[in-house]
Amino acid sequence: MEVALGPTELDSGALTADELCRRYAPSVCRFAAMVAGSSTDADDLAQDALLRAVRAVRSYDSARGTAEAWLWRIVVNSARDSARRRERARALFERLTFAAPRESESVEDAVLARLRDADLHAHIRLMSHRDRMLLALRYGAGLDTAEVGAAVGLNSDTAGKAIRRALGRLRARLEVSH
Amino acid sequence: MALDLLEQRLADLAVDTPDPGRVTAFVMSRAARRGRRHLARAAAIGVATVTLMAAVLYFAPAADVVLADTPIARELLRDAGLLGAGNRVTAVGAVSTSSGFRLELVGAYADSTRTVLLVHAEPPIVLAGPDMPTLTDQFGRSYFINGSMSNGLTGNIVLFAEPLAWPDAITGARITLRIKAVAAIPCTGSASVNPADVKCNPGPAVAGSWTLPATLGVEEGTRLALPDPAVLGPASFRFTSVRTSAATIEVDFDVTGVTGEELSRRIPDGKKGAAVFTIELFGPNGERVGGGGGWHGSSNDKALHMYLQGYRFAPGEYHIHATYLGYGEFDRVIRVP
Repeated sequence: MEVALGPTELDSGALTADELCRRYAPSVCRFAAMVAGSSTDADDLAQDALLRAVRAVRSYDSARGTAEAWLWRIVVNSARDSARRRERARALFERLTFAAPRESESVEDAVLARLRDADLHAHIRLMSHRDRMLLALRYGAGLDTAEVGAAVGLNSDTAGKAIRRALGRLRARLEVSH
Repeated sequence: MALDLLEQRLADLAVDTPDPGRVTAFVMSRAARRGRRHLARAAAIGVATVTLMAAVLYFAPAADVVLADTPIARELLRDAGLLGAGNRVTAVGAVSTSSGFRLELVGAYADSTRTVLLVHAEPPIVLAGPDMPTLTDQFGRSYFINGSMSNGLTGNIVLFAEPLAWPDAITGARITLRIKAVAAIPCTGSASVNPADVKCNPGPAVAGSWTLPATLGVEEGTRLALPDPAVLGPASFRFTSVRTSAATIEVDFDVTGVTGEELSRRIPDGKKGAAVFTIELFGPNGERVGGGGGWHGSSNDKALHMYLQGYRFAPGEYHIHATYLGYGEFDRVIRVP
């Protein structure tokens, strides 16, 4: 698992686009994979979020907060906008076409452990966008509760409670399905 | 604090994660493309030279591409908004057959504002969910397909995707369209006799695999003079870019003083609701030309970046017309050579 850099390492020097991508692309990609509804959406979200950050990198002001907090606010906003955009696109697509049968999953190709992860991931994808985002920031991107709070506009305690509630809802979902 | 079992599973969850290297390459290329024009051009020339010297021929497929006149039906070009650029559309002819459906990528067009794919299906189809079609280039980057139109009478389909990223404009692009599900759409009636009598009933979705590659060049756009800024009530509009290519006009502008949500509001009217804000592009003959567009930015910020896209059919004066309910309207002229 990627080790997150301490904020001081970036804040003390100039934040460049190259450095931003090199250090944070892996965690942004992992966050996107957990929060998005499909691998294609995850790809698009990771690209969009990082592109926004790179284009805004000159406006980053270390006096207003850490680079990590700044970056994750951009990523969270991208995820919110992407969810709205995808919802609109999907609704349009479904209006233009129609409901299609679900594809059956191929279980032969995967090992047991992988299937369990896929199963867990599928349950996460059925959760609300907010819950997915909280879990993806905390466990996908590896942020602590204070950093999650800074990214979504909550204080540390409230963010911790929100994450615990999201975990509770995930547990309940898993219990019902098994 | 120790993680419990579920938290540990989440922390260690194996998911199909986008490749950070590929995402970084995409982001850096896009960021470079949006840079100032002269810098982008200088960098592009440098990179193109290096690319050619390194003989990375795989990534430079445009070398043997000729943008020639194509025998593509006029109606297909009209549906795609490409009537003004018929001789810039690349004839492709890639065919893929699966599950009894034959799909042909008849032609493709790409410029700095959009990518258009012209497909013909036998029998006629509509694209079906849940998997949306994907478009990728030779660098493995994916492009969002933001709309499609199917003609159940002719079997023609037009797909609109976002513009191809740098350096495709220099090297040309080797793109691949992948479709995973379609549905037959048998239609009865004749549009030429009475369009209202045409009835189409889409059938069930049919899974399959259609892979349609194409190699095409990317039309570089020309920058035009910026219209004057405008103010409508609390909203201030500042135009930042007007670009035109053989087939497209794209206008970029910043809006401050209002949020995206405020501009997107609709007043209930018992039907779909009336938009409080509209902005459209009109051609030299006064007809609306396209009218696609959108905005970037967080929905709660009072600073947005918007874009408006229309079809270029002929040279002349094009008009941007905006209305904001309760605050008035403005009109700006773009002179397209």
